[in-house]
Amino acid sequence: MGLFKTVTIRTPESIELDFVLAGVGSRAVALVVDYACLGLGLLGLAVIYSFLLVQLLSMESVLGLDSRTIQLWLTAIGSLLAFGLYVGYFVLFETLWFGQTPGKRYSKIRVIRDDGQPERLLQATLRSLLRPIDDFLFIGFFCILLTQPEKRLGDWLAGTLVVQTDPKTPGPVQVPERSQAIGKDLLGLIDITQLSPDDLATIRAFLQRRTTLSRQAQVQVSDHLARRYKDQLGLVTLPTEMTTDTFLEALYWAYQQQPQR
Amino acid sequence: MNPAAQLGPLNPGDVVSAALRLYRDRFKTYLKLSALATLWLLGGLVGLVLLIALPVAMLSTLGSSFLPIIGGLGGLVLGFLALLYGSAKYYQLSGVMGRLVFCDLVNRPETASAAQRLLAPKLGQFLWLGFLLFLAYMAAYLAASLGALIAGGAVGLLIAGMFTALINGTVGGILGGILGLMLGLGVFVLVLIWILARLFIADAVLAIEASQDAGGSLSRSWELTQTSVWRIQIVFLAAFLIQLPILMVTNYFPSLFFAFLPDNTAVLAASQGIGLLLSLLGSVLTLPLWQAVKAVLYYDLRSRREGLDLELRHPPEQTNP
Repeated sequence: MGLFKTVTIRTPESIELDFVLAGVGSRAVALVVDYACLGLGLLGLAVIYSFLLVQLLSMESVLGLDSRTIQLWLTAIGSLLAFGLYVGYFVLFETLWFGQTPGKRYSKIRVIRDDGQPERLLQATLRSLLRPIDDFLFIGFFCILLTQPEKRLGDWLAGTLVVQTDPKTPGPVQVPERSQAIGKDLLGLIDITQLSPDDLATIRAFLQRRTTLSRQAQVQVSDHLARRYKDQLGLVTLPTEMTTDTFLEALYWAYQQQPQR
Repeated sequence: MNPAAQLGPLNPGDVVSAALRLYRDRFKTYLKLSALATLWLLGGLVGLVLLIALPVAMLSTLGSSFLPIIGGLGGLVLGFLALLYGSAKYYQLSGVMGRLVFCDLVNRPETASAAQRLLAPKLGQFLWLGFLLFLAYMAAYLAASLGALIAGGAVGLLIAGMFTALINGTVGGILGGILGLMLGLGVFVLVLIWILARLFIADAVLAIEASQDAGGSLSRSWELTQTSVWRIQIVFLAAFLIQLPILMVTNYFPSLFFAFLPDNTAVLAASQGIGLLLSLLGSVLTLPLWQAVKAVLYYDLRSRREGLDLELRHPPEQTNP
């Protein structure tokens, strides 16, 4: 696809894998979502920290400790935890979810190694440790924008790529029985091989997405596609009265009945 | 087969990536248009100032105290017209950018001059749309404030009353105040964001759809964004994040730097001037990005709601989107 950069990775078994790079927009979205989650975590930490501080300070006389010591200890532990959360959030999620964090999952992207393997603890840690540097003055942003493989410093060091996850191929379209029967009739009337795989993809996309279209558009696109394929197949008269949707369903079903080539 | 027309509905992140990519592909064209648009707006402003200042200055040499006021008022009227014309050109050229991006996206590229010629008769509509948007934003602001006041006030009073009865007046007052304020703020932001998202792509619609006028574009934007307010927010945030580095170089760094300069009128004036120029440069650079985002979003929404991508897969001869 022209708009998004792709990379081809050749595995040791000489299999070529194509990946679409994530793109700076998706990475920005992932960052926004992840930082929002992280911010909530840090906020929770801050609430617990201040709650503990107040409680411990009120017990000062019981514990027999100097209030400055308590404060120092608690602050030290709190800062360590905050740093741990900042680094650990990304390391943990990217390791456990094979290169994804909540933000990356939302924006449908994933971190992989340069050789196409899933990301492991080592890569996740390196990426995470360099994150503050990449965030500082948007260094990472400029690296992603200006380099061919769209890598930030952490990606260079860890040897990783950020790619789009495979779009989930939605399941096959359910064709009602009446449309199947019409499909059978159609097979006798037309040469279904005149439909290309691209045409089938268009019909399938319509059948899958029609419920999300506005009502008016549903009718319009259905009519448009039905006319186009009716002309393309040279159908003069239809076997029975039917709606354009039924016609498209029947075509879809009929195409599926071809022996696999 | 035309690959771009198969794009179909996009992820929020991909909307921004695609917009950035299309912007970069014809960077010079967009930069020229953006600079021109900004100059028109600036020209309108300068015209306003000059048209007021010149008559006042000239007439006050005559020694009368009455004539300069009349001259100033006359200048104000004329200057306001200049400003209106400048803003109309600004909106129109912004529309041209959106149109070019959309045409590239559906593989029917247009040249900048062709798009400008096509949109020339719509100059008045662009100005009218700008005015309508201004009114809509004001209304949104009022509605959001009112909603916040009512919701926050009611809940705040209720909570305050409850806790006053349960504990005492101080706790009730504080709790009610804080919770009411938070709720009010939340309502305010949500309502404002919601309305802004619904009107976000109006100028792209006016530029792309041939038969649309200003009012029609507003309602079309309203209709297309119906189910996508949340996704538009994400797109908006991502685009905002991406323009930050540019603004950092042109706006934030200089103002930080200027803060350390010695306190001296000449230096101050010079730094203010440079700062103004740089921030203008920043807006020239980011304007096409926003227009591109609107155009790609328009394509995305039309694919989602109206199956535009399905119809474009084998474009029948002669359909104008």
